[in-house]
Amino acid sequence: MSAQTPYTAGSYQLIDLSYIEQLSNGDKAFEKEIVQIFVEQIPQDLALLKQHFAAGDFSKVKQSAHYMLPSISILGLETKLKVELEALEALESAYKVLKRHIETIDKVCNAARAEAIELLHSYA
Amino acid sequence: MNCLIVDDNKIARTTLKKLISLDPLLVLVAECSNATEAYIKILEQPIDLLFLDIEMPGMTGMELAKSLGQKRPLIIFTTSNRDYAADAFDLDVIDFITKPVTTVRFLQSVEKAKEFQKTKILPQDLIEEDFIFIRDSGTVRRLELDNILYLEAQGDYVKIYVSNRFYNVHTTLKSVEEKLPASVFLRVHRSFIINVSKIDTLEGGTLIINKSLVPVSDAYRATLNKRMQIL
Repeated sequence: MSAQTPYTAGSYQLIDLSYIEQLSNGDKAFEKEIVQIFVEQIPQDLALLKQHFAAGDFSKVKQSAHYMLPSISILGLETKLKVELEALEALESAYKVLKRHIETIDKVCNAARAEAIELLHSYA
Repeated sequence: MNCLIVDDNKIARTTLKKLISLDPLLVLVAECSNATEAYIKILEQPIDLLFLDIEMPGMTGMELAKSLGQKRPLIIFTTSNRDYAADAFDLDVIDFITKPVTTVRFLQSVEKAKEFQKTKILPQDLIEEDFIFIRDSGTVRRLELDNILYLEAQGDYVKIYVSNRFYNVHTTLKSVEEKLPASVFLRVHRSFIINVSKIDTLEGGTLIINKSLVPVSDAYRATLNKRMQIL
């Protein structure tokens, strides 16, 4: 999961490009655009999620988690964060558990973002 | 078909744009990041098909769909949350697809929209009649809406029950539903539509209409209760 791992296209530990590649049908400009948006958007999404959690505003935590779903699923991260995202949508777990879920989401998304940045460099 | 995307998430909008570009008959007029912006766009220019997210800050997709009245385009809901499916279909939308939207699922939905548009009766052409015509064993028969108790889908046929008999019509429940006034008739189950004014009793998940039992499925129960205005 480390960002130091040497990357080659198609061999990522977290991001899964199957959906994007199926949709792009070889359109690399489109693939690049999606990955670029992910790289730009995910830090803001994570910041908001953590901010709402810290403020104890759980309805906004739920909204933020829901908002992140398309970005997460399009980059193939949904299965890796399924338990955590479902818990944040349901908000039935203990505070400590939710906190751990947010930390996991943060960690996985940041590592995925590092992979996405490497991927961006591989596009011409 | 003029299309409009309404989604607060940029990645979701970008994938929908790509999907729309696959069909040359679809023309993307604009993309909106919130429902209020979309509401204004729809009033400003003709939109045939709306790809509409449900959960958005401010006005939700459901609220937008309800607020459009006669200006309402065909709607395909796109959402990450399956829990809205029943409510969404209550709004008479073309389809409900979950994100991430696959190419196959997208094209299926668009085909449904095109089919619907072909047969669509424009609101100004709608004249509220109190009867329908049905084809009954080679005879075209007039049925007073007020005499219809309920309708039941069975295979390729719909049974239309009146006081002491039923008529078997070769059609689908969905196409009959489109011809019946929503103010009088209500879907209560995948296979049943009832005339609300004919309900005798409701107990648990079952209605009794003229001594016949009609099941009510969970997905339609809230709408039925609301419509019955139970005291």
